[in-house]
Amino acid sequence: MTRWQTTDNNASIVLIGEFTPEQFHPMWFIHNKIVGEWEYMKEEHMLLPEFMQFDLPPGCKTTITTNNFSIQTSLESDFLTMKDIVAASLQQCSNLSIKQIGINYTETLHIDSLNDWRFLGKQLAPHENWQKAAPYIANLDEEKQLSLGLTGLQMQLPRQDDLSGYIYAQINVISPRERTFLFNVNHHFEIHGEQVAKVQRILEGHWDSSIRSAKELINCMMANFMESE
Amino acid sequence: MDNTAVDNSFISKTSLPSSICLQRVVSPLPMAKNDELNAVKTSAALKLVQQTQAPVHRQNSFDEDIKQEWSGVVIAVNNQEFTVQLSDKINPDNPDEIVTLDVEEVDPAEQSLIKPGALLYWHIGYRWSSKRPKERFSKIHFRRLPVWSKKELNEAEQQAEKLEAFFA
Repeated sequence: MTRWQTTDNNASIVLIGEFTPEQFHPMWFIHNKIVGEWEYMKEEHMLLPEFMQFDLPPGCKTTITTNNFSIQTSLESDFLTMKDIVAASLQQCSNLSIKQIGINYTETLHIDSLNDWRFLGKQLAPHENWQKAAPYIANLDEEKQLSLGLTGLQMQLPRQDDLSGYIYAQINVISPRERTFLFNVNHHFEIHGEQVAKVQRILEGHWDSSIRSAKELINCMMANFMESE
Repeated sequence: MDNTAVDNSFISKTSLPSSICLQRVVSPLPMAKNDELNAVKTSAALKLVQQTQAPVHRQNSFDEDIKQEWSGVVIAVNNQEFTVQLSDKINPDNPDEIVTLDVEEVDPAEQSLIKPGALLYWHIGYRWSSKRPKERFSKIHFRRLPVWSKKELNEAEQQAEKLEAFFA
């Protein structure tokens, strides 16, 4: 039994570039056979000229603004389908200007014990320097002193391959009381030249490895920290 | 992660960038629309990360644990059955398998896609929710891959003719 649990996970793809949101109406996806016909409930969608948000089947939350196309699913069995939706959409829009693509994997983690929660926080962000920089903390009552702690952390990791970009790992606390936090791994790629074709190649060639390495990174980090106690 | 005494009060609007991420949890709006994001755009690294990270949406009322994942190609269709060649995506070193499945295994909306050459994903695992007990599930999803355009087919044909002429 591990001392932490993954209570939720999701994957997403984010494209940064120039988009015409109204082009990506749900009917556009049906017309281009990117998704099957489905009875979409219009009242659940936000369809505005500069902001489109709707759920594409099987369950992909899709948001398009003038500079951002993002799609996300929290069912692991839909991860590959989501990737196919983006690949098929790009095939229909070969002239899009895309500058960056992110392949994201996020886990919501729960730490069982308060001691482990505190230990992990101090490992990730040691308190000593903060206590030295803010000496008044030592004079506060115990409850206030305990409110010193990490709420967010972001690390930049180099890529293993020759592609332009980085891997960003980010931790953000959701609820200290429930001892839950988000651990996101963002495989970020910069796109230069032949933009759509390059994005398609990244999706086809790096999807599996990005998701797999994100899971491994989260698991290794958690295991290393917890075992170091 | 020691602030056990404060619950959510740490979601301070003046605390960046963690407050941004936490706001993403509760806000369906993309981060780029967040005023606070503009405040941290002076940091190039932050800008890059946050731009290609997605807002977090809680979409499903249940969770999944995938135990097996295959990609497959339909190699034959016979009445109510179809035969698929499967590649193991979790253990790619495993040899391909050929299995025959009942059409009823596929969602009715996707049964029209069952044709020789069609590609699919097959997931087997467990799913559960706070209201439903853990149950085994099997999900077959047919891929809707990009359709080749006439222009692309013409270009490929021209390329093939050039190669044919070169090797002739």
